[in-house]
Amino acid sequence: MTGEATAAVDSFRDYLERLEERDACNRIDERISWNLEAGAVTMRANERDAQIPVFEDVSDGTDARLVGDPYRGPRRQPWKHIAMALGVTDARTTDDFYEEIIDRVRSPIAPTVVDRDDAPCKDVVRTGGDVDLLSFPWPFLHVGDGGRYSNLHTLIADDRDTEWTDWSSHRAMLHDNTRASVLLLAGEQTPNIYYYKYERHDEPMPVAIAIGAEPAVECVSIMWIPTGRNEAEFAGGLKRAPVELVECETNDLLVPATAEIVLEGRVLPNSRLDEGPYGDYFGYMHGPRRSMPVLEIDAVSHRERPLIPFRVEWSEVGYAHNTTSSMEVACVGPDATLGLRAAGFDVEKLAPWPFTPRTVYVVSTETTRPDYLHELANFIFTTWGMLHVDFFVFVDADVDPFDQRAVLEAMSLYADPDADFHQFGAESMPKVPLNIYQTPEEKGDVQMGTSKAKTAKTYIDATRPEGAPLRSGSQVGDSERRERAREVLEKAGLSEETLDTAPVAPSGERR
Amino acid sequence: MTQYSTAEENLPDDTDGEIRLQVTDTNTKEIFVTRARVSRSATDLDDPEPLTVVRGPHENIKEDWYIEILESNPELEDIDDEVLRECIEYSRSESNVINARSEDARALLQYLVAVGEFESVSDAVRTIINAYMQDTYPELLDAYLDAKAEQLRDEMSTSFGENR
Repeated sequence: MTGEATAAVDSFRDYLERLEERDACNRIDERISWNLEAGAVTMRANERDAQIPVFEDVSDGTDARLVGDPYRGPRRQPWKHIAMALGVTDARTTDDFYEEIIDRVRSPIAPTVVDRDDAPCKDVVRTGGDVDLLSFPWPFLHVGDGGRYSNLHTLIADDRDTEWTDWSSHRAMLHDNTRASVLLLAGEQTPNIYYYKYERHDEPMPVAIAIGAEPAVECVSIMWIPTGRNEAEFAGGLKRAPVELVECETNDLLVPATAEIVLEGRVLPNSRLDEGPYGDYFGYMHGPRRSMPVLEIDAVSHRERPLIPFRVEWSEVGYAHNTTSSMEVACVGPDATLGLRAAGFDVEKLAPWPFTPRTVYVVSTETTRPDYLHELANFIFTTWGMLHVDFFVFVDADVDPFDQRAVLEAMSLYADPDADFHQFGAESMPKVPLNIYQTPEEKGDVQMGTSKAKTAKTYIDATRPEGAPLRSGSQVGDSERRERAREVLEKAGLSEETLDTAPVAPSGERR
Repeated sequence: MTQYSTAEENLPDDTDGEIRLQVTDTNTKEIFVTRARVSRSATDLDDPEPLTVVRGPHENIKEDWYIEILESNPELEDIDDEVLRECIEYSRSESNVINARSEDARALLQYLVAVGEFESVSDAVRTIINAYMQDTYPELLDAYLDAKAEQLRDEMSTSFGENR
């Protein structure tokens, strides 16, 4: 990535400009409707590793625009566009990128608060009776969806009892001009604040939703930042510069000043609306519809000609990438790796396995004693991995956890079906009610958004038994050979973008 | 002509006559509550518009129905706060007894008590009414809770004022 800007971008639209400079962004002037069309075009772009589509005209008499899966990276380097956004210019491999992100997360930088006159998100402000949610072109993504969604944003909420502000990502289904239902699954940070604190006191939870916030904010929103820590500082660390915040119009929350749109409102206590069905992240239309907390909107502020980013979850099955899978690798992977190291585990790398978002993770680790792996699994399943992660595969530190072939090879060579497949916490772990293997009855029987039907967790010990011989050549995997070939081809004059976007056969190998 | 959709689970068991129904405008995707009549046959309604009813656990089975919308978002105007406050005051100062004569209802409730489902007929009546109110008149229940909370706040405020 030589010759690129070295500073992180400060806004979502600056990020798009940077994509455009690299010919990685496709501004579509032809009218494309928010009603299925924008989602379909985005899905196609995801499948083909095409440029990021920006829909300049989405009809309905609005000048707002849509952006489909803006953080999707090239499939061999899904983190690459996020690296570009954060000004990470010297990462050539996933390892380089991981270590750079880990370094940055370790060095938080405090945010600054700017006057509202200096905040682009206040270009247009509407409050009270002027709030008109449906004047924005929220996308309707899948034929069977229960409604239109905002699904790529940062939900900002204060803890009721402390000074802590949580940033998180919870999709919202728009119902009418002032109301939406928000997918809050107890067990996650903001849902816990709502269910166990605000709602128990019969109080509304003041919130803001920042749509099209700058990339560093978006990244932190999906990272697991420990409870009580200032998320804005971690966003500052990620971009190596302070994030600018500004006060809301109708509550005391601070929001990213360069966000494209800010919705201010309250999540009401003891009030529910339908949420879903939704073409979910496993690629299936998920029913039944759920009852989720009601978000009542009090104010909307936005930039001129705001951009609304969205993701098409349904396109993630098969061999396509999207924003979710790219951000899992770019944000969750390094963050979780750091989290495990901070907890005292000597892991080499944690990899969200491609195409299995949040369900299967692979961890490469130096220490492979059975009791150590059990302790490691216990830590993960009782902290951030509790709701979503179904199973882990542990491999030796010299196995690249992103290399599916290498991981499967390790499983087939070293994982004894009798001794190395560990069912962990059978019938005693909560489960997010979105997975396809749960029956509709199990998914529908929810308490505080989380499935009442419990599930087991599993980990597979695919590390080499003590004393097992190192296979000849196993330390020079396909990925390293490819990387070497890439360098040779680049030196020979083949453009980097061409190398990044070469099609991938179903086997995962390049054609 | 506007087209609407709804989920089978939103339909009441008895769809004859006027019903309250949550529907989605399939053009704008706006979701709202209506007072309406519905039927599988357009000829049963005076001013029918197409209504797609989706069913099944993943709502991927579709049926063609028709809807005649009599009123949109009826709950927004229907609750009369003044009348509600008068009712609260009456049940506090006059009588909090519900008197309903019905041999059938008594027998059914008595059965539920006899098999241990409820501790008493009163308990059964309160529980069943509460569940029915939550399903059928959620806005009224919300308004009632708000009015009660406001009343409590007023009383506490008055009490503190008197003790000053």
